[in-house]
Order: sequence, then structure tokens, then C-alpha cells
Amino acid sequence: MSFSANRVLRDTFFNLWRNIQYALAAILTVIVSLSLVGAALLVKQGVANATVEWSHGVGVSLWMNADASNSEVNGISTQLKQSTLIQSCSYLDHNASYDLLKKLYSNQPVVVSAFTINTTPTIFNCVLSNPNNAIEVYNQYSHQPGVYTVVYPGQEIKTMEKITSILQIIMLGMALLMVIASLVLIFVTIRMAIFSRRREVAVMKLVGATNWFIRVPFMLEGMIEGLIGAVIASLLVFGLRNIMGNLVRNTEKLGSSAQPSLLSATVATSHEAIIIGIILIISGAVVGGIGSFVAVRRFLDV
Amino acid sequence: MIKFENVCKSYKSSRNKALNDLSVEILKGEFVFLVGPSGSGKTTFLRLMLREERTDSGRIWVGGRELGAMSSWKVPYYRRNIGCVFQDFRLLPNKTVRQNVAFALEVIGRSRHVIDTKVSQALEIVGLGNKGNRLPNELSGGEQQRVAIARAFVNRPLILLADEPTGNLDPATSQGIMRILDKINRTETTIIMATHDVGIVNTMRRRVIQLDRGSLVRDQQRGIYGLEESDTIEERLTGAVKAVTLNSDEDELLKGRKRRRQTAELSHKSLIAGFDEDLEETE
Repeated sequence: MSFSANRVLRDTFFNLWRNIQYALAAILTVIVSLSLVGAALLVKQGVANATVEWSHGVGVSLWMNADASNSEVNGISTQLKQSTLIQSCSYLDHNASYDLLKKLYSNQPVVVSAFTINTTPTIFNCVLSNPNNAIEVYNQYSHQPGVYTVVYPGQEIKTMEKITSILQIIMLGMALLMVIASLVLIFVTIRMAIFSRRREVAVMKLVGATNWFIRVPFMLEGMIEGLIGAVIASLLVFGLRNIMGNLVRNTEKLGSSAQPSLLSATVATSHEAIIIGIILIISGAVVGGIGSFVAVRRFLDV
Repeated sequence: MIKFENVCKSYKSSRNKALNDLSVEILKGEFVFLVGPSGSGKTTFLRLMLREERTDSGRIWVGGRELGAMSSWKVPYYRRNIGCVFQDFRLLPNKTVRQNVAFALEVIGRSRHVIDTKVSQALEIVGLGNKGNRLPNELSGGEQQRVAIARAFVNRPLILLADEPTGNLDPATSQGIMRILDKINRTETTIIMATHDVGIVNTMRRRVIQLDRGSLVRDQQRGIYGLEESDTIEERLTGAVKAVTLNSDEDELLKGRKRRRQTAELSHKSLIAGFDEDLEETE
């Protein structure tokens, strides 16, 4: 048994080596296609995470006019406390919001110098009792005296969802085309491998080697090409996630946690990236297996 | 052992039947020459026996099994009982002689130990015991064909099919090949050999099955290539070839046949011994 397992592995890698140009083309196509699939899955997961985050109580920010009077600010504060739409609020006074401004624009001193403590708007950061009511809060407060504007992220999330879903469709469509290309290339590679070993195959059939014995090395070759491509693709996807993660973390450091970060939610966790990697590896093996199986069925039948 | 019953076979590309209502029976241990002009159905006969083709109608039994009823997954196991030799040898050029013969056992999953012993024995039988490490292109045509015979015989098949095994070889070399086939035949291995070689058929005097356009036209024990007492060019040619090349071997082959009759089945050892004897006789 181990003897024949040895033979199968030796044959498989020998074939791969003999067919290296075709094998490389097939592997590269698998890498590109599965990377696209992986990236699409990452984005999808990110959006799903963001949506979950949002429905767990996302903030609404009321920006007051910088020159709003104390009575205006107090009035809004009382209304907010009494409102059933609002769960709780924190207030950033002139000093606190100026600090935030300095942090956010630390690399743009021109912006900072345009403000003084007293000309910086004060902000109410509020958590909604029901995140779906953000629009009502906006309608209720944005025209109150002393209120400069009401910022709520619901709109952004909806826009983002729309954009990412279009992006996902495009990515998945391209990925599908590339997956078909990988299938065809693996098919051609295996066909070439069979052709270059036709003498051996003919002798094997003649002396009574079973069909599976003849087929397995070729099928394994296709699967290994799919697997190699898939492993590289999942490493790429993992790398992509880390780059995104680092970008977001750097931005967050600047922004403190004044505004619940939408960005941080859009990055899939590394745990999720591992699951995506496993999905990619399995699909790589499946693509390789199908491509080579079809070739074997068409060109190796008794 | 082998029985064809009203077998018909035609190919899509041709309107004529490759085999037309052929019925014939071959017994265990027989040596049969399959003769006839090109396109008479000899190769189809062999391909049907290997179940590379299936009959249009009629039935074929080999070793008690009806080939038409055999499910396709059983075919490889069935083929392990049949050895095959071809005009063009069909050796793998990148493998040594030993590896070529061993390949036939490797692919049916024999253990390394069994392979080593059997390959050595097979190479001894065909007289290539000392050339195991050569590559096929370093050997003469006759030697290559002997490797092919070793490969066909290494698994001790019940039947050996040979499709013009001497077609590419000169008469003297062909005689060497025939000696080996004769020796294999003495181990109760049934041999069916398609051939155009008039000299060999006339010298060996074995059963001759003659086909013409897919039909059986002659089935003769101890037969010759053409019809006896005919005065065709073929017949005269036969005589000429015989006279030039084969006189010296005739007696020896006759002796060989006597020996075969005495021993129904020879063990492997005596087989090799038999070969050594043959070598000594020729030397």
C-alpha cells in the first residue's frame, strides 16, 4: 500500500514538473480567481460586521453652534434627557471638542489654527434607544435653535452597503470568470499530462492496471495545482485583512473614541479571515479536482 | 479456453465487416497462427479478445467468462490473465529493461519483493538476464522484442497474444523470438499469433486459422501459411524463404516440440534450463 502511495506521489510531482509551464499558468489563475473570491468575502464579512455594530446602538452627534448660548445648550440637554428616542448622551464642551479637533487634525496645523477654544463647536454624543430612529432624531433636532447640524451614521452605512454590494457583485462576477478560466486551464494541463504519458498509460491499460490506478495521479496533479493556488490566495487575503486592520487602527488612534468608528467594524476579524482561507483552500481543491476529473474522464477512458 | 461464437464486428469508418460470423474454439495450451491478408480481421480478433472492442453480435468466452457480459470495472483484472506483444514492441523509452518489465507488475500492485524475483526470472527466460540495466534504444530490435515478451509473460498469463511480433525483425532474429514463444507455449500458455511470416508458419507446423475479409476460410492442425499443393507465387516464395533462412533451425524446433509433448507443464526452473539447452544447441 505504502509502495503504491509512494508511486502515486512520485508520479504526481514528476508530472507537475514535466508540465511546469502549464502548471504555473493554472496555479497563477487559481491564485487570482481565489484572491478575488477571498476579497469579496472579506468585504461582505466587513459589511455584515458593520451592520451588526450599527444595530447594537450607534451614536448620533448633535453639533451646536460655536456661539450657542448656555440656555440653548441647556435646553437641548434637557430635551435629550427627556426624549424616549435617546438612551444616554455625553457632552463635549469647548475644551474637550477643541482637544478632539487638535487630535483629528494634528497633521494639518492650518486647520487647527483656524479655531480657538471658543470657536470650536460643542457636541452631544448620544446613544439611541432604537438605532432605526436616527432619522427622527435628525428631523426633531436639526432645526432647533443653537443646533448647527445632526450627524448620524445610518445614512453612511446605507450608502456604504449599497456601494459594497455593487462592489461585491462585480468582484464575484470577475471571480466567477476567473474560476472558469482556472477550470479550463487545469483541464488543459491535465490533458497535456495525459498526452505526454500516453505510452505509459497504454501499457498500463494493457497489463491490467485498474482505471483508478491510472487516473489518481492525474487527478491528484490537478488538485495539487488548485491547492497551491488556493494556499497562496488565502495568504494574500490574510495579508489584505491585516493591511486593512492596520490602516483602521492608525486612523482610530487619531480619532479617539468620540465617534463610534464605522471603519473598525468593516474589517473582518483574523478569525473570520482564517475561515475565509479555509473556504478558499477547499474551493481550490474542488476546482482542481473538477478540472482534472473532467479531463481524465474525457481522455483516459477504457 | 477461448471460444468465438458467430462473432460479427464492424467499424463505423468502414462498410465492410471486420469479422463476419466467426466461430472458432481454441484449447488450453494451443499454439495458433492467425493468418490472412491485411484487413482480414486478425487484429480485430486480438482486440476483441483483450476487450478493447466489443462484438456487434455473437459471443466470446475466455476462460469460462463471457466478455460481452463482463462489467467494465472487471476488465483490468481480466487483462491480467493475458499477455500482449506487438510489432512495434511498445517499450517505455525512458525506463531500463528491468524497469520496463517491472512496470507491468508495479501497476497491478505487486510487492517489491515479488517484482524483483519475477522480473529476474522473466529476463532469464528471454535470455536478457545480463541486460537489465540497458535502455531500450541501446538494444537491437530482437532484444527489444524479447523485453516486450518478458513484460507480457512476467505475470504468467494464461494466454499470450502476439500481433506480428516478428514483423519488424529479420528472419534469423525472428527465429530467436519464435524459440522463446515456443518455450512459453510449453508452460501450457495458450499462444495466438497473428503473422504474415510465411517461413515461420511453415516451419513451426502449428494450428493455422486463416481469415479473409472477416470470415474463417481455413482452420488446419499442423498447417502451413498457404494452401498445400497450390502453385501460387506465395507458395513458391515460401519455399525460397524456408530454404535460405530456416533449414538449420528446423530440426531443433522439431526436437523442441517432442519435448513439449513429453512434459505437459514445466516448472520455472526447467524452463530456464530449457532455454540454456537451446542456447547450447544453437552455439
